[in-house]
Amino acid sequence: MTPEQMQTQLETRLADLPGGKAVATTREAAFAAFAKQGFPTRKQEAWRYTDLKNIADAEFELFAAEPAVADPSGLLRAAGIDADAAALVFVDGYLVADFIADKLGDGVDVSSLAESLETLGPLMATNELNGQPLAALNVAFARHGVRIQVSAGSQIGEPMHLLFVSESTLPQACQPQIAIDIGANARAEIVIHFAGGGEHSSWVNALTRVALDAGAHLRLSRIQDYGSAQTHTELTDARLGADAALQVLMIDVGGALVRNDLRVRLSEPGASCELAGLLLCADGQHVDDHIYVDHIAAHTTSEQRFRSIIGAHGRGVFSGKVAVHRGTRGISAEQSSDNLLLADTAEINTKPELEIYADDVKCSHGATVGELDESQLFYLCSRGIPEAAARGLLTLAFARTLLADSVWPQIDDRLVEKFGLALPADIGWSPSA
Amino acid sequence: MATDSKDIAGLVGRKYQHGFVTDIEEDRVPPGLNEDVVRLISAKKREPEFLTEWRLKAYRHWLTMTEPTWAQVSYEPIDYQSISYYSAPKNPDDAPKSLDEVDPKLLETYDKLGIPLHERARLAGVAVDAVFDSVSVATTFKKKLAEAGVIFCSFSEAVTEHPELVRKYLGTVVPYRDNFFATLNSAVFSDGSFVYVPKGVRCPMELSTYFRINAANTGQFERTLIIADEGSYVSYLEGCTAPMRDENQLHAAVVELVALEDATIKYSTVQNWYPGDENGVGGIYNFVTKRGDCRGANSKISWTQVETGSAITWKYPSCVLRGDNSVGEFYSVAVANNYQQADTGTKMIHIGRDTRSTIISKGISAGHGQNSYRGLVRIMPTAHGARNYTQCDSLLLGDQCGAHTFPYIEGRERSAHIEHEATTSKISEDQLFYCRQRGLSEENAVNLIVNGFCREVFKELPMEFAVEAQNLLNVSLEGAVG
Amino acid sequence: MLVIDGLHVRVQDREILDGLSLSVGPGEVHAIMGPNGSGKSTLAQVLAGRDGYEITAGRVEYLGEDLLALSPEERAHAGLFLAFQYPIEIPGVNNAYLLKAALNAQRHARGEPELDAFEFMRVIKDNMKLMQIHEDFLTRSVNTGFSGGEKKRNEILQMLTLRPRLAVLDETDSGLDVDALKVVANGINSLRDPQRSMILVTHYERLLELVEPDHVHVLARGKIVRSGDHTLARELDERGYEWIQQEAQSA
Repeated sequence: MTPEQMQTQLETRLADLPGGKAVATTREAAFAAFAKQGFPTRKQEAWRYTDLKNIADAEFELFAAEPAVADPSGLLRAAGIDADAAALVFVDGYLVADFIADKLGDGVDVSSLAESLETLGPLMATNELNGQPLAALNVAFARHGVRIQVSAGSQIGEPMHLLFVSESTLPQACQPQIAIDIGANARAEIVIHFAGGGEHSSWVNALTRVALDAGAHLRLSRIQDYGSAQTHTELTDARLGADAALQVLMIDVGGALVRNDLRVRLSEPGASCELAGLLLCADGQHVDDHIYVDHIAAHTTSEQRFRSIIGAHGRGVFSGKVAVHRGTRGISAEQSSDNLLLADTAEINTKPELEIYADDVKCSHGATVGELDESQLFYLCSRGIPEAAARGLLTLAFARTLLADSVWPQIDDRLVEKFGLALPADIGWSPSA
Repeated sequence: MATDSKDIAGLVGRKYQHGFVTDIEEDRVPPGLNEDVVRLISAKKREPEFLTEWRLKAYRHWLTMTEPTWAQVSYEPIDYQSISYYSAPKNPDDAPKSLDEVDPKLLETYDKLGIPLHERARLAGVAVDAVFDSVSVATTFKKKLAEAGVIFCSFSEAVTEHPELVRKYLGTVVPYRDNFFATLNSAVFSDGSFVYVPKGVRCPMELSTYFRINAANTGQFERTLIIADEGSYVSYLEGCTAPMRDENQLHAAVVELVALEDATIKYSTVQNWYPGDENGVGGIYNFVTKRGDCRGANSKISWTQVETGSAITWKYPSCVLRGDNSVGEFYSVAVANNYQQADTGTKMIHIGRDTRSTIISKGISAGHGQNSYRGLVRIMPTAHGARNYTQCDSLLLGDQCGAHTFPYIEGRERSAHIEHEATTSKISEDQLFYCRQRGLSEENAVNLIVNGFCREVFKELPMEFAVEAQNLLNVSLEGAVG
Repeated sequence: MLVIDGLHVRVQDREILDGLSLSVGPGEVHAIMGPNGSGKSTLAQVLAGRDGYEITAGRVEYLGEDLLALSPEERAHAGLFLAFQYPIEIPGVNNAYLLKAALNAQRHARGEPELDAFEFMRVIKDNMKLMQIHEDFLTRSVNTGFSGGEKKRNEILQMLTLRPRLAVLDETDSGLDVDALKVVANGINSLRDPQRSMILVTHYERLLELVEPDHVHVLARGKIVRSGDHTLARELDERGYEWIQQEAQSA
């Protein structure tokens, strides 16, 4: 789809889009930013291993119609979310069910994106979209999504689930926006699920903006469990105030072509982040995690732990950068990328980078690529576990160490299904436990 | 107890020791580059037609290329038309047959550089092929090597005497289309060294070349080709210093190594070209393409480099591990002090089964220096059982410098194992205090710790180089701590 | 030899030494004991000149000079040696090299001729035998990959080689088994001399059974709360530190 075609679609609908005139100007500027940059190509360093040609060449409906959804609770169940959880369900971008009611208390304000565009204006300034053409595209077309504000000091005990399901059988592009603002010293947990997609090739291009005020704490999980034909791109952009702490867990199971950009700016002293990711892919899937941690202020710490398990004909990419700005002190950054290849046709490309312009730093990274540890396998077999089960067990364990208290218990099932793992029958660790 | 970074930055400031210019008449082509210049270079060197054509193909391809910008370095655009592409000491026809015939002024130059050619050659048993500007002027120990069947000569001589070998191997590791600088080199290379070690021969001595840039505005385009035939062994040493000068000088060399079955090539470099002054004025641009091809089974190529000089270093000595069981190694110490910029590392391309590679990189940044490690480990689907281990450490001396690590790891074979570790930190206060408590001055404590930091690399150098490298490191960092 | 007078030391905002006074004469061995966190290691570090300690009051005189005005290496040149509680690892630098460099730096500073490799080896060989240290130890990197006991024996080896006038041993006995403790004690005792003084900083009494101190001091909350002869150490071993802290508080 050429930028001109997109622009035509945008212009015809511009007047109906939420946010009115003020936002319309931003949309046009954002689209111009996209058009100027175009779709990323592999010539760009950040896209060295991921080719978006299929999207760039495809025709997408940019303004999908509202779907008819009979059973939103069923969608929750299918995604492995408790029936009584505080959750919002979106289908093809449209909010179809609100199960939050008053489960979260007064400290949380949830508004639709359309409302927040009217009252608060665009979520991101155009100048922040440099080098992010896909995010610019999202800003231009944004009409669905949610804004969550947690007021200062609020302690939200229960996780909030945002479920985005792709149901359309038409090739369409859905561009949801999520804004999360956590007030000073507040604490919250949010889980974003992306699911559906089936065998129809549609494209979700999400933009999530996270802002943590001083002392705020957010645990953000993002689970991607699409069917086999979905294309998904996203940018999560987080900015942390003094002593704020962000924990992120990203799990990728499905999708045909997935690119996740996560950018964390430690803007004030004492801010810290712990980022973890589990990437599973096989059977022609291509999944790319692209992480950027920016140590802007002194005494900031970051940790990145990413693991991938790649099966036959799967292609994984991890690119993680730590940047430390000049004049900062007391920086500590750790980064690891561990990758398990289960088949001869599996491929991983990993690029853990450090870019450091200060001396009072302690930064390290490590990366490993390989198959299961032979000595561990031998050890288990010597204890009477059949080899296939030992392999299954070690594969599961490789993922588990990252997921200690994951909010998504279904991951075990998914792993076993995806890679056809065998497990020991009698150790009480059945896949569904 | 002044060990904070501000004081550490204060000690920088030793003048470049090897700064002087030798006054020798030159035979030089006027600045500029076109097909005629390429033909002229080839004609002056009396090259066979295949080589002239090869140069011209390279030149025409170069015209279609753009200068790479991906390295973490910045410099003013180079005007390729202002460079003179050929310069040689006068009268190449009566090039000296022995040291006695060498221009005494030239020998004096080596003396100033601390390279006592006679003594060094005799005492250490090292054959020295000294490159002055672009043409070799002194070669020793030829006889002893000839007895062993080893060919060690200037590239030009190889072209005349052994054209079949040159034709067979030139451009087979670094093709003329390889990259902007290598392609430029292919079009205009002046001279360099050529080594052929025949089947089953262990080269009886370390081979060494001293490079030296001397003529103002003269780009240097050495081309080195080393072939180790089946079952042979050779250790080649390259060292360089350059005179002080304010204008930046381009150096775009190409080194090609070919190791056939069961052969081993060890290539060591101590690079101490003029790095520019303490304000970043002047200095050499060192844009080098070095690559080794482990073509045969069980072959081995080992690169060791100590890079303390040059204003800008752009250099990735690499190994293509084609033969089964072949081994690639890269040991590197890179120093960026004052305003030096280094973007250096390696590529290990695993193609053959059970191929192994080791990368040990030690980067030291001081002053306003910027030091980047850039490396690629690629395991191709054919590289069953391949192994790589990478250790990549950066040491920061002062808060105005930078240390960057850009490793690319590409795994396409399940049975391969890749392990990469990297750390970046400033020099440890605990270690400094410990050494000072035992009575060492702060500067000596820093030297001791930094040398310790680099030890894994230094121990790979031939003995006489290891000592030189340590001294060089101390000199390069003198003033970086205080 | 050493006079510490009303020493106050602060780390960040915490007062670690709170008016400590101590006098050590030539040839004397003083033990400084005390519970964890009483300031023992701070005292050792401050004497050696470690950065990061703020001296807010008091003075330290060593051989008639103002010790606090000297850099760490100047203190070492003047014969002050600290055996570290946690000896530092220096990868890539071999033991023999560090020791020779240190010895020659000190000799140079005192105007003595430097030792060549052969003389150095002669000096160090006997010391190694005494410390039961194998020869390959010399070529290993300083403290890198050493066991706790090896590190402590290495500290004493350095002390034997450098022959300081005042040795401060910070928890040298911690982490040693009985045999290693004996070796370390032998090393220390071999250096006892009417001209050489020692300060043994320790939490336990067991080293003091093997190296009998002339004076024992108890450090609590940053000052010396009790002094006595070697029998005080035994008493502390039997009764713990609690009673002495209570006594000090009620006093």
